[in-house]
Amino acid sequence: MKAWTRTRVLVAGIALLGATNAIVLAGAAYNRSGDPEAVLRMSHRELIVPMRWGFESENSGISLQIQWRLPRRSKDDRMALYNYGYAAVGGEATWLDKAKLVQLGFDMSRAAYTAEGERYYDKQLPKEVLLVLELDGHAYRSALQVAEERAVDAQARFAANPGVAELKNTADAASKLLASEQSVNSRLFVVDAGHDRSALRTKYPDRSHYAIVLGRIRITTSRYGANSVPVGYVSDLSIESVSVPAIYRGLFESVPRRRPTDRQELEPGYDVKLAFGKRLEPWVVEARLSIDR
Amino acid sequence: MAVLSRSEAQQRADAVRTFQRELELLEHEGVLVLSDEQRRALASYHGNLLAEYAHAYDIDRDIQSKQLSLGMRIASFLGALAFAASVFFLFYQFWGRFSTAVQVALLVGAALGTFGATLWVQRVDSSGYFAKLAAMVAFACFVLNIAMLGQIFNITPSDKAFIPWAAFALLLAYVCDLRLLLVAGILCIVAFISSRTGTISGMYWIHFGERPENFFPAALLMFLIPQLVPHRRFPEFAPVYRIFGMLTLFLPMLVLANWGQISYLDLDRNTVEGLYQLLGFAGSGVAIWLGAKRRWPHVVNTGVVFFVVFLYTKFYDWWWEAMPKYLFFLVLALVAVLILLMLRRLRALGQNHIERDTR
Repeated sequence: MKAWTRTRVLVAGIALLGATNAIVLAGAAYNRSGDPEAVLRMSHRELIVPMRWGFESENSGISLQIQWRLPRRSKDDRMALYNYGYAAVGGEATWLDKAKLVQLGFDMSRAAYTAEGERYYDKQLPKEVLLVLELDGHAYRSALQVAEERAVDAQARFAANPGVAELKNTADAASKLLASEQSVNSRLFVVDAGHDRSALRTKYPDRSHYAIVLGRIRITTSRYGANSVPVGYVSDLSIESVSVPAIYRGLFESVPRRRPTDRQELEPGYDVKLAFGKRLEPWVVEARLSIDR
Repeated sequence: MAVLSRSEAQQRADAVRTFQRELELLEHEGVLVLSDEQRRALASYHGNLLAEYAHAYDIDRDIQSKQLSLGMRIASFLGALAFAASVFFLFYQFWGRFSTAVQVALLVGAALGTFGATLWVQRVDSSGYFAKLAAMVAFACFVLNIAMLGQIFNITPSDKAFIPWAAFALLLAYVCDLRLLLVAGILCIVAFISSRTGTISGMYWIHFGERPENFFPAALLMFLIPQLVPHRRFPEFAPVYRIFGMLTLFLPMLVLANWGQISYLDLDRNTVEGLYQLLGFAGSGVAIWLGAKRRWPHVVNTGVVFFVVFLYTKFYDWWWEAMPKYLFFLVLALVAVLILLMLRRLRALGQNHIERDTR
């Protein structure tokens, strides 16, 4: 191995640093060039300023965390009601059935109810796919409707038996959940997945309500009675938080950092126009304060 | 012999000192007596050589210097870590207040500036300690540069970032003769190859660590690099490649020998664990044999460490609960004695080889 001259080392180092930065910046510029793939107007319900702890308290940068949910599996799926918490958490999706999983590249040919089958499905690791985010669409209206029905049902049962404390608690909880669904919970749902971007865009043409992003899906085994069956599980989005440009920093600094559920009435909220570019990477186009909604 | 690097100069200086001590002994015992003229010529040659090396490479001329050098190495390592952390937190503290253009300029400028500073320091600092410190800060700045650009522009995480990081770490390692950055470069290469191996099965790259077999191709490559690329100017680098090659092979094997369910192999958990236990024993045995044959003490030592770890983990599984503790530890001690005897035999075989070669 021959020794490099100092000049050669200098040139090689500058070329390496320069080329790497150029590639990264060109990629970012390409993502934001032309018309965005989608532009969604989200609020403090879908984008939260996360709380700070530890070293994070010294971070002067602000990133908004995307709060996404999954359509509930059934009317009695209580987990789905609460599934909007501190950050987006994964979950099983009704639309992620066996046919869809096969379409996404998972081998679903093994028998589910055997030890070998269970081992095989447990070993499957997440795959990156395209996920469709729906803002304030059918999935949200469906969740809202279920919350309304539950509240009406719980109130009716309590009205029929006014002395039963348990029914009163249930009715109060259902009313609270309805209020959360109306004004706090995220309206952003992951409603579909695929590998073909143009096919997904054809299926969901409204670019102001549907964004296509990269995310991860895996198989998990769920136990139903004595049997365990493989089910599709949306793990996470490839980009879970969006950096806030310095011009909007003041706006988000003025917002109290708390969980969506802990928001106070009439607390200032915000609207954010989030664009998704050619590489499906998001950025903040515009942000402004809003009256609580 | 033309000296090309500091470590080679140090090796030569050590050899000269050993030769001088041996010559003194030989003269004392009357085996070899040099004439005054020869002695003067030799002393003058060695004196000039050592002075030249000391001037050009700031080598350690005696044991005391060597001990101080170790202290300086430790101080330089800790200083570099602290500097790198300071750069990170400095940026962290203020970056949100700057416009995107300023953020980018600061990140790129810091990476380029610290790289330039490293080359300048290397030119003026013959000891190399300050250059090493600067090199580690430059690497930290470049990692911060790319990671923060990813955050600022919300770029999808990619394993491709490991390629420029590895290239820069290796560039600095070879320029500054710095093993710590060589390790950083090796780790980046291992991460990249392993993630690519993982994606062959269709998994998302970030999960490559969840299937330890993904590390095996990278392990093989790291072990073979000193064979494929001669490292005459950097004699201390070849052992680093081999040791990290072995760590990249045996650590995943050790994990699989205890958690068979995370293997790619579609076999029963116990079968997988048994298989990797066997492979672990066989692999570390082969490493000991190869190290002894090729006279690579670092390979022998790493092989012995893993052989013992594989063995003791198994003993723990089998006998910790079943045996009285005095008996358990007695077995461990007896096995240690057995290993000692085995290694002594290997050493004797090695010496026989050397004697045969010199005949």
